[in-house]
Amino acid sequence: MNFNSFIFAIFFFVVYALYLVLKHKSQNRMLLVASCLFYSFWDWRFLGLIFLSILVDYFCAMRIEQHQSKIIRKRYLALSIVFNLSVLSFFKYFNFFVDSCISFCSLIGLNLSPPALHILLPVGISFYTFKTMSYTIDVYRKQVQPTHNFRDYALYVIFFPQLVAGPIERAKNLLLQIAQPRTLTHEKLTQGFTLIYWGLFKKVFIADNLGAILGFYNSSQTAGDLSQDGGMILATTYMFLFQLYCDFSAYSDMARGIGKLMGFELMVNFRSPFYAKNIQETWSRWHISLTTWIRDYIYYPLATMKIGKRFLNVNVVVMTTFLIIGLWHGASWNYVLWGGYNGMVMILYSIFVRETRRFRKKKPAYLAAPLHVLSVITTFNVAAVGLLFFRAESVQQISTWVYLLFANFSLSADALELFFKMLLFISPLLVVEFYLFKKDDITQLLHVHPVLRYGFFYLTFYLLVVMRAQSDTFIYFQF
Amino acid sequence: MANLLRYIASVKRFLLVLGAFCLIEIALAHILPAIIPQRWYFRMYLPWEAMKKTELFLSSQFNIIPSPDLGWRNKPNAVMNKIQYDHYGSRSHGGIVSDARKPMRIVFMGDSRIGGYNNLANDETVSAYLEHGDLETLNFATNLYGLDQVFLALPKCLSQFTPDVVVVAIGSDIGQALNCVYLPLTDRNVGAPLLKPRFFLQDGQLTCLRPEVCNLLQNIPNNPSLLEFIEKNDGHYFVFKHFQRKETLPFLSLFSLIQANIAYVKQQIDYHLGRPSWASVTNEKLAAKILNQMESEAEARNVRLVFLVMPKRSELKSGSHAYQQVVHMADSLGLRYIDGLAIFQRIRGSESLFFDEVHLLAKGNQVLASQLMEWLGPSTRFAVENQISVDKKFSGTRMAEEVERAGR
Repeated sequence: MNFNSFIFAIFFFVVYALYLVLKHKSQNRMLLVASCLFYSFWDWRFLGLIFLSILVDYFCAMRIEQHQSKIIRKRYLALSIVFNLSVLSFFKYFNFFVDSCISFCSLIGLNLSPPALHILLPVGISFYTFKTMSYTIDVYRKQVQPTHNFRDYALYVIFFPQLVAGPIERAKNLLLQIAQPRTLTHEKLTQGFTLIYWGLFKKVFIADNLGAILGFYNSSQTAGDLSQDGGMILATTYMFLFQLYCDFSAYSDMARGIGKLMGFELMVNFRSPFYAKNIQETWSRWHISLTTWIRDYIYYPLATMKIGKRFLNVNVVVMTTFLIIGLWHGASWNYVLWGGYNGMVMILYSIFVRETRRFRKKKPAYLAAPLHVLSVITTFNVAAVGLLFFRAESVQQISTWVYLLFANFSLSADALELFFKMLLFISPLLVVEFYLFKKDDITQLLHVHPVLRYGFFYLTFYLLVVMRAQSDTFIYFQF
Repeated sequence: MANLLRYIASVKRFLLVLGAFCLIEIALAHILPAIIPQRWYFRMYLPWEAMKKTELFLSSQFNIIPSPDLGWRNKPNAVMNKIQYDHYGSRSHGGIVSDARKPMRIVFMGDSRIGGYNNLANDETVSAYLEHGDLETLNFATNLYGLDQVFLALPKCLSQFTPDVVVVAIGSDIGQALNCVYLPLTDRNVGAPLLKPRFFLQDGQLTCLRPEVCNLLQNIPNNPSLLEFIEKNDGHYFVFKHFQRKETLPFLSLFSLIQANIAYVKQQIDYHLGRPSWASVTNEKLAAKILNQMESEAEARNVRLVFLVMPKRSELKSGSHAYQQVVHMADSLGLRYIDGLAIFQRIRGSESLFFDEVHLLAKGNQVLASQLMEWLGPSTRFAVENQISVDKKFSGTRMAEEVERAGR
């Protein structure tokens, strides 16, 4: 049940109507049932798995709170983490681990046959596992008071707007809102409707149309031609970056919008990352709920960890963190390489900043703006190149793409046509994202002159409805 | 609730503007098609991929190539993913050797559902499962072929390959494209922007219209002759006119979209409740005439022609009116046919034998192959039992008597 499907519209209409007439506690009960129903549309068999995870973490958090002894508290924390990571590893990484072992063994001359175990990946497992883990860790750190209401905790984990593709909410934000009665304000409703509309536009018009073009060029008929032309690789890589962003941020926007219509405030997951002027800033604007999670629960503990009397090398910590981010995205070597590439870029950037500090002084005004634009373009390209790893299906394919991009670049008429097409699709995005980069609130768009406002609405509505592509599922559901 | 009602009251100006937009669009829907050139609409109608695919099709970069007689045909020696065609354009597994003919030769004709589609390898098709020592097969099934194209291809196939048996796959959509020349008019997202010949039934006689495929498909959407041609000859041209009026302006388009979605949801509910679909076979008379002519053609050359009526996945549960019509049509015309629905309905969980709504998985093809073997007679039955490793639950125990009932 995608957010952009008719079935979801009916589902949400019914849920919302009930939500509006019920009182706080009944609202929560109804939302819990609705969330289970929502997940059942994907695969009802994995509902049991989510509830097992909910039970274990609820129990562990209660025990952690009850005991003062650090050792016992640590034991329950370890139980929660081991359980969650085991479930995640089994369902998400088992096949990857086995395949990698078999490949490695074949390299050293041992031929093993793969086990006849076909493991399905439960939708959204990476998202809800991280959410439940953050809860027990926060309780252990005494940053969050554990809830004694099982229903509230279950709803925190399974709340349907952000169940299958985030944002990865923290208990200190969402759980508190679940426990308290919500109020619907004029502002929240406006923000909610605007976010849903803009999310739909990004998904249906931009992401799906770009996806259709990419699908065509990745299809069997044309894959051979694509690999011959650096311009095509560059164009399709840019397209993939915009598709990925529009697809994922659309889901986050719609999740936030749906939340707001019910009075919830879900965290912002993207803040115009294309206008970041360096790679550090890009990562502080891209998939914020994941990067802050990794920062709080992996980066900081590693960076403050001492081996003997010395802290771990910061570059090692950065690289480890990014490798984990890569692996979180999928059980495949290309995601690990993508994480490694980003880790390397971050390390190189920090070295560059350190080494050039003494040369930096206040730039004259006539230089500042062009340099800013240059750094934005460079950052965008550095991030785009990373996606070669993300998209590729084999290491050989990556090497071919890199060769054609950097050692044998040519720009064909087809590639130029693709660039032109991409610009047509993304131009509304770039305008709105620039506005958001400056104002950070999409509802500010509603305060412009009525002619502009209605003109913009009608144009985007035309593109959304008339120029829509065939609907495709959200990319991040696979993670 | 009160908050929401207050909110709706506060945005009444916005709602009024939306209402005004709707009214303006209703007026424009009648004015604009008279002002805006048809080719602009045509450009909007065709998805971008359709235009790119047409270019690739004309430059023979697909596994099908233009054909002046048939619209398109399989490209000889094409290899694309799992699909491989031999130099005759047949998706053969063992294939044939021209100077060493085996005692029995079977030719398969139809569309992708019997051809194996893109999901199966050559050795997983129905024809491949039938091949053994004394039996050779050729699979000339071509993606998206209609009954009319199979009929046009039949005489050449009979004379060139002199088969003993010809198996033609048909389904409840047998008449859907018979009055169509340009496939995107049957479905905007059909994915294959192809032109096909079309038969007309005049005074009980069939007359064929063959489009000049390469000329008409050149330079689309800016080729005025294509639009003229389809306006004059395509029974689905109203779809394009409907698009012009109802789907090129956002609010009207949204209403169409909602209507289509409601119909889809209703269809899904009917399916889950086990209610059969009541849609009828379109162009029934034309289809019956073509089926009859095919039978005569085969009879004249002493070839056994059998129609394999293949169900869609959604028809397995409760059948469909259109499917029953096809079976009755075959009955009334005295054709030999095998009722695929009867075969699959005997198998528990037969939905899992389907790859998608119309295409089978390898196991589904095994089931069909075993049924065909039964139909072919006892001389080949022993071979199939050795050749095909059908799961016990699919092979059935009352196969022989049921085949008698299912295939005539």
